[in-house]
Amino acid sequence: MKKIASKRKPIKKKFQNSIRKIRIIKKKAKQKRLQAQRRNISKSRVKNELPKKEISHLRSQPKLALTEKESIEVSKFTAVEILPQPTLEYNLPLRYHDNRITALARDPWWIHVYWDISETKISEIISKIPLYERENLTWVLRVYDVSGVSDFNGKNAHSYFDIEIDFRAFNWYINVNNPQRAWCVEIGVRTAGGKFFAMARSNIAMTPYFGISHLIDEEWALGDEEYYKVLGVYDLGKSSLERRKKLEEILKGQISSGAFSGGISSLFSLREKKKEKKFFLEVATELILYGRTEPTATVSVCGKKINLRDDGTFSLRYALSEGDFRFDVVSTSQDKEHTIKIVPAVKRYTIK
Amino acid sequence: MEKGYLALILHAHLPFVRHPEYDEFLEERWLFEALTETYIPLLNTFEGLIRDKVDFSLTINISPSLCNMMSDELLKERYLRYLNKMIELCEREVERTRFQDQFHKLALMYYYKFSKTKEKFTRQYNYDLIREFKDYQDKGNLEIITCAATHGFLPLLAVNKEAIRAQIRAGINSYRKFFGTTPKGMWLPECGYSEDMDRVLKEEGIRYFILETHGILFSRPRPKFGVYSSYYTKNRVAVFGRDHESSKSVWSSIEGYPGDYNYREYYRDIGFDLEYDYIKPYISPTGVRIFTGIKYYKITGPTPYKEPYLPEVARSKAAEHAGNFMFSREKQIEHLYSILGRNPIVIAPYDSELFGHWWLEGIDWLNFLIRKIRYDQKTIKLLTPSGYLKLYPKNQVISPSPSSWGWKGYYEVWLEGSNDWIYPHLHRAVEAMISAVRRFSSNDSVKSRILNQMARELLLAQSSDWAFMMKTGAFSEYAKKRTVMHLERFYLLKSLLERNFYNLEILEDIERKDNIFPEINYSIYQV
Repeated sequence: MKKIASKRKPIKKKFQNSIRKIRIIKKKAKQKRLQAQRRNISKSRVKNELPKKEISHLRSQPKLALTEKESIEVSKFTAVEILPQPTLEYNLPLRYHDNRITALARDPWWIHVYWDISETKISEIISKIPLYERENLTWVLRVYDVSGVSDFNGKNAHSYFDIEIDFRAFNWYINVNNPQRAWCVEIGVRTAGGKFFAMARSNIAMTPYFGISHLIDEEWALGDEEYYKVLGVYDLGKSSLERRKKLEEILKGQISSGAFSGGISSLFSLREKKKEKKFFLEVATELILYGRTEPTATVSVCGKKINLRDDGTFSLRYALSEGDFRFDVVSTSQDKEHTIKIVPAVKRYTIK
Repeated sequence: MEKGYLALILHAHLPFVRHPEYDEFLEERWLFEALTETYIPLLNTFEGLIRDKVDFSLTINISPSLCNMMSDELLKERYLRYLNKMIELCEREVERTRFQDQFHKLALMYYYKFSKTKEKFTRQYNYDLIREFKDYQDKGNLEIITCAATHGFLPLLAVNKEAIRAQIRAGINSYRKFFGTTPKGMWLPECGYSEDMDRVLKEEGIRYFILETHGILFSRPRPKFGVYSSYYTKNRVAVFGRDHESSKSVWSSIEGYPGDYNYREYYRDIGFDLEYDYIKPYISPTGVRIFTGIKYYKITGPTPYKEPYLPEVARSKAAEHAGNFMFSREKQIEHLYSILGRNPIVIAPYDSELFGHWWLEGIDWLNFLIRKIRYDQKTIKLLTPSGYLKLYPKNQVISPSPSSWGWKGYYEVWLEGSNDWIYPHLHRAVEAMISAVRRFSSNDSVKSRILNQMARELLLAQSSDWAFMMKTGAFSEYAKKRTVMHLERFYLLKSLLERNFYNLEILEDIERKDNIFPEINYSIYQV
């Protein structure tokens, strides 16, 4: 990632110049704000769009706070424990200059957009703006709610809102905060007078559904009481509004705690593993027993035959716990005429 | 007469990792470990059940990329080499632990395990695991389903309908090649669903798929039976939802079984514990300590202090947990049966690597569970989703909610600060593929080969595993490298077509390296 980020830089700079050329950013103060924003972006582009509370949550989260399911999934890949790895040279197109913005839903409340607008396109659009309005232009994303609109033409959306952005971020997370709606996003510049000039329009992204539907299919209806039993939730309260609210809370809690996705609340694995790494010392001992004899001889240690190397040497390695150990080493010649026995012994103990 | 059903669904998947350009490649061990600890033990379990005439019914997805690795000659050869090396290490361990009784028994256990695995793999299975799985399907005990070709996370590829169509179609074609029939069901990678995906599934002949709990619960209109029945989507594909309760007891390490203190501790491994010079030949070629799979301790408790593992105790725990799981399902099904007016089905899907690899005793647990369900009760029966559809062909029609089984339930795991940079590249590459097919498709064999290889590279770049690794931080550099490398190879091949310069050397080199889906046909990208 590092490499990619640094590769992006020259483009950012180049862009900065071209943007300066067309004098979009003039006010010093504004520039400063943007720079501050940019610093944020280079750290993590996501954080920019999150409310403060969520940001601090993100920061406090250790890198390897994995969900239960993730730990297991990661465990498939843990022949190596996470090692520092060399950064690699990548060689992908850095830019596509295809004047495009693409929208992707992330969850019922957030969508993600990325864009790539060529310098030519920017100049072309800017040239359409009356000269006297070209100062103090702001880059914005205009987010349209186009639910149920089959032929969106820029004017027939239910509603829209604007987000001021740093053009050079090249992507953004947008809190639309509205499940089961269709969204279309335009990127463009807005004049100080509030006129919007679009550079590109996205595809339509649908935010996923959230909550139990109020739509009931008559043929497949089940009374509310029964239904809550199927869901395994009880004590929801008396009024139907109360119940609905409570149920929504429960469901939201289950999903974000991940109870739905594999018991995420209990992140024992990798995270707890990290916690274990307090200061510690472990000591173990092993004994190496080695020797040599006629290559054709038969050798045993404590009654168990051992293998000799071609030259008649042998070495054995034993883990030793506390206690007394004797090693009855016996070598017998091939013709069984000679037998030699040597018994080294050790005492393994820890000085208290 | 039974009152309901339990559908155990295993999802077996690994990303395609095969590096002929290196003599030894660490990440290939993912496959070797999963083979030794999960896939072969599963086959052993099935073998035992058949031997003891225990009727059973399970559903398993063996992902197309895993099938391709299981059937690859180079990887088979390397797996054998891996087993030999592990057996050698076990021999040394048996010797080394001779004066430590508890560890000695465990060293023998591992020695036996690896030797037995080798014998099975080479003699009994004759290096062909897929045929073994297929046999159980032919016997009627196993329903093998398929997955998107390279486990691409479909909702985030869905800006190009062709991208998800190609993933699905290539997955089905691969299945046909390995199992000789059309798959009934599809495991959507990470249960990732987005609106209208059912249309593509329908068009490609898929009859059912599985979603996360709220994929069903949040569907429109309200699903009458919660997640305890089948439904149809608007395009008449059947859909099932995961049961939260049965999932939690297995997945969660605190509330669930795998965290029991008698079970084997995953993180204490001799690769990290033993003296460096001794263990060095068996760890990473660069000398970095890694997990070897030989682990001598039990979880013991929430402390760094660990006690030696006692297999017999752990095994009886697994039996106890299987009994507990069965009992809970009986109660659950009795409760649902009394409300629903039809026999409920409890959908319990798990990553197969959970069993054996992560939770060593999980294989025993599964074995005990299947046997107990057969003999110790009458309330529930094991059933596959397609078996349930035969019993209940008439179902409510719903629009499932876009969702996934990842953290937070939607798409965030695969779309966040660490991995969002891949999508501008992936989406445009699909368009480049479609236009290349349009421009260059011909009867010329070299051109076709180039287009086919481009399709392979594109599919490989789309594996959700890469985005997942970037997010978790484990192997993120490798994941980035794989994403970029496949796209680079893709564009290199495309440039050959554009420049009318058919360099066979380049083509053959790439074909040799990324030899997944030999049967692929670029027409999957024909619009």
